[in-house]
Amino acid sequence: MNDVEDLIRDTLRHQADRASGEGEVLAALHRPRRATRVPWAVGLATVTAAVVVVAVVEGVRSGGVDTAGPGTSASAAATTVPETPLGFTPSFLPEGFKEVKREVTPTSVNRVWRDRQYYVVSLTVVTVDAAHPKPADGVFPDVEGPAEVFGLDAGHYGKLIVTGPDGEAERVRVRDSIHPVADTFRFPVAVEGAEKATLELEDDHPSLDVWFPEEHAFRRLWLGPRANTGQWARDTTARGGPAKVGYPDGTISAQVGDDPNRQLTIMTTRPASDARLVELIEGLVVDPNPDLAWLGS
Amino acid sequence: MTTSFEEFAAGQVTPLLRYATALAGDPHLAQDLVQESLLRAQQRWKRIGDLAHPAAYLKRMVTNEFLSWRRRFVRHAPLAEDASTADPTRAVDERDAMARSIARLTRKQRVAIVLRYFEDYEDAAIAEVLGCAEVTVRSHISRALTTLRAEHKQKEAAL
Repeated sequence: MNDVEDLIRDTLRHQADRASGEGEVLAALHRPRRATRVPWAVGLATVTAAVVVVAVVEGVRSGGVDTAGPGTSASAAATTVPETPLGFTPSFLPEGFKEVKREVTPTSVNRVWRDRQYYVVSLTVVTVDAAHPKPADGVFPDVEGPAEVFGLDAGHYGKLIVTGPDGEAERVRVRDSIHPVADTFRFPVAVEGAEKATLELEDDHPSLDVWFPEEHAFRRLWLGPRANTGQWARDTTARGGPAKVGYPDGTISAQVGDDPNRQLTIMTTRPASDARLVELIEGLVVDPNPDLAWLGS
Repeated sequence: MTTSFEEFAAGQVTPLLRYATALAGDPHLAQDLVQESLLRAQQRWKRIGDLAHPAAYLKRMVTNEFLSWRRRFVRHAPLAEDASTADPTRAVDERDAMARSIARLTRKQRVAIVLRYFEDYEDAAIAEVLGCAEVTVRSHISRALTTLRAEHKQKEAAL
């Protein structure tokens, strides 16, 4: 233990002491649930093109998978991984920043750059529609720091976060350099039906997280070097190799191809048999030549 | 015996809010994270209530909610031009500086730091919450500590 670790403990305890809103949270549990967010099945109107990839495993089939789940979407989509347009990009970034993350929802594309000191530039391009009107311009609190909201064109607005010793001035320079582009990119796994997909550098490896709406058979999948199905994991076989299934989420992890740093994991929303978990993970289409050149550049 | 969801929520809302506030650094964001997680848990309470440790499961849900969080511009007022306030003591200055440094870490590093230093979790337990290998947890914590120590040293020198 040392002074810095003591200071971290002290800081976190003081932050926690600011917690409030118990009554509001408990009251919200008795109100009707708000509408589910629009899944990509609808939001993919923003997608401009699709590329054909070869499924990594022979297990991708046109039938035999529950029609309620994204596994079916991936199978029925006949091995295509859609391209996502970036929409807008900055031509100026503070020195030393590299792109480490892209996050896509049905209505937004978020890109994050970081430098060696973990200062951040985060640009989110949001598509305006009836359900997602543009908020007033201004600076708002956000998880990573103060976020500036501003219009980009009639159909889009931007949300920009720039942290650092000179963050406010650099935010203005980045904002003023943002311009439209026709560039696109694609995720390494087909993720139709997702409410959000995130690809980022984690521990120097690309890592993909995808969240699905509750009504789908699984809530989250990730592809990366990590495979943790919990302390009660059991061995099984999937995607032509050894795999593990875990409890309590109904989690399965399997290696993709020969690369131990490509572990595909699914966490289900409901209890599922081992056979069903294997079926779900084998139904996913994985891009054998993922588009990752932008990551870390 | 399975506790009712209402009893469970009433008993857990405060510790969950404290954890989420330490994680997000903002009580309003924390409230959203906990509310969203409890609403999801309410829908699946039959299964979650039968788990040996439903509170640990809820903590994992809050963590996942934090990792997947994207802003909804409906709840919070814009920031003032300069929201900082002058702090009368050095201890408060140090805590504020550390809070700002923690807020700049990546979200996964932040989760690892909060679980280690606020919840006193071991590597294995953090790995289970984050859904990653223990070696990745050690890497997250090591990199985060390197950053936090460097910034603390820099601020000490400036005082």
